[in-house]
This record gives sequence, structure tokens and C-alpha cells, in this order.
Amino acid sequence: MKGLVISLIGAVVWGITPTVVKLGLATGLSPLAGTFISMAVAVPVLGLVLGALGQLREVSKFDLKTLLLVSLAGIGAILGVVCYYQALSLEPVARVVAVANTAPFFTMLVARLFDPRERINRPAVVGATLIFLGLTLAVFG
Amino acid sequence: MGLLFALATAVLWGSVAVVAARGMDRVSPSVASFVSNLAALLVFLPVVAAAGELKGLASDWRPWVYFGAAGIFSYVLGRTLYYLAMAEIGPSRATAVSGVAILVAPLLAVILLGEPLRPAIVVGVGLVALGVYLVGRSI
Repeated sequence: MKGLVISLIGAVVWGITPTVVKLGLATGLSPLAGTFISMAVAVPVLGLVLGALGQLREVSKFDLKTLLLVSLAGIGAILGVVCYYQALSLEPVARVVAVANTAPFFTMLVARLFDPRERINRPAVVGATLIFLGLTLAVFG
Repeated sequence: MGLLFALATAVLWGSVAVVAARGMDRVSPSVASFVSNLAALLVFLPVVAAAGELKGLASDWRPWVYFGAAGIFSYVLGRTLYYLAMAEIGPSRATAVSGVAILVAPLLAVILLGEPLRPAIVVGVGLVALGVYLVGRSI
């Protein structure tokens, strides 16, 4: 029960974010500058939280390969944030959130491309179909 | 055009999850996330400066409040709570419940921004949420 409550609070916090971004964009700032502010504020705070929890010592475990992969993921993710903020500046929240949240489908697709042994089972196929039906409705409905 | 950006978001976020997972076999997700975002910020800073976007940032405090809050909600609070939930109830359930965000976001946009909510979008969002739940459970 405790885990479910924590997970729900986290979901609500994530759900608030697009509306807050829209309010930020209404001040006239560009999505690029907005992304920079979000990261410039969040990264030091996250560092402080991890430092207080004593988890920053783990940084010493990073080898070059890990660092490169994690950095590459971060750069891809920040490009995603720029696109997300740009989309929010042009479209209603509901439509952007519906399209952007199809990401797990692309995770499944890319995971399969990277590793042909990756299995795609029936729930995944049904889920992917539902995502595309929902996407079509949200975009063209 | 906005929808193409939203789709690009999904492709980028969906793809980086695979790259990130390959780099996270020896470190915890929270520290990997911090290093990942720090590296991205260091690469992103000169790009924003070159685009001339840093100039007006000091003159208005409002964007700092909104975008700063968005950064804290998304990267610090949301992610920390997600990792805590994963530790409590496992990744499948945590991922499934976190899908509630897809339903919360449009509701808040209607209440706080007065955005219109057509029935087709409501059904579409519901189907995406159900689809994400099923895909999330299958991974």
C-alpha cells in the first residue's frame, strides 16, 4: 500500500509538469531556454539530494563505457525535453502528453533492434496496438 | 508541427531508455540519472549560449519559477518517488501506476489552463495509458 501511494504521488507530480511548463512558456521564453532553466535548477538539487543520501560515492564506479553510454542517454533525453517543450508551446497538453507517452513502444522497438533475442509477447503487441489506436484518436479525433 | 515534436520526444525518450539501461548494470539508477543529466547540461550549455538564449534570462524571474519547478517535479521529485516505489512494489507495478500521469496531465490542463478536452482525446489518452500499462508489464 505504501509503495502504491508513493507511486501515485510521483505520477501526480509528473502529471503537473506539462501544465507548469505551459505557464512558463506563457512568459514568452523559448522552449530551448526553458529546457536549460529546468536542467540548471534540477541537476544541482539532484546532486545535493544524492550527496545528502551518501550516494554520490557511487560515481567512482563509473568506467569509460558506462560514462559514455549514460552521457549519450542524457544528451538524447535533453533533446527529447526540448522537443517536448516545443510541442507544448504549439499544441494542447492532452494531445502532447498522449503522443509523447508512446515512448515505451519505441523502447520495445529499439530494444528489439539492439538485441534480436529480445522477445515481444502478446501483451506487448496488444499494448502497442492500443497505443497506436489511442495516438490516432488523440491526433486526428 | 507540434505533433511531430511530440513524436520526436517519444522516439528520443524511448530510444535513450535502451542506451541508459546498457550503461546502468553497475551503478544505481539515481546516480546514473544524475551523471546523465549533468553531462547533458554541460553539452547543452554552449548550445544555448551560441543560440543567444542566455541573454534575457536574468531580467525576468517568472520563467525561473515555472521551468525550475518543472525541472524539480520531473527530475528530482518524480524520479525519486518512482525509484522509491520501485523498491517497494517492484518495477512493473511502479511503471504501471506511474502511467496515471498521462491521465492527470490533461485534467490539470483543463482545470488550470482552461484547455478544451474533446471526447476523442479523452478516449485516446485512455487507450495510450492502457497500452503503456501492457507494454510496461511485458518488458
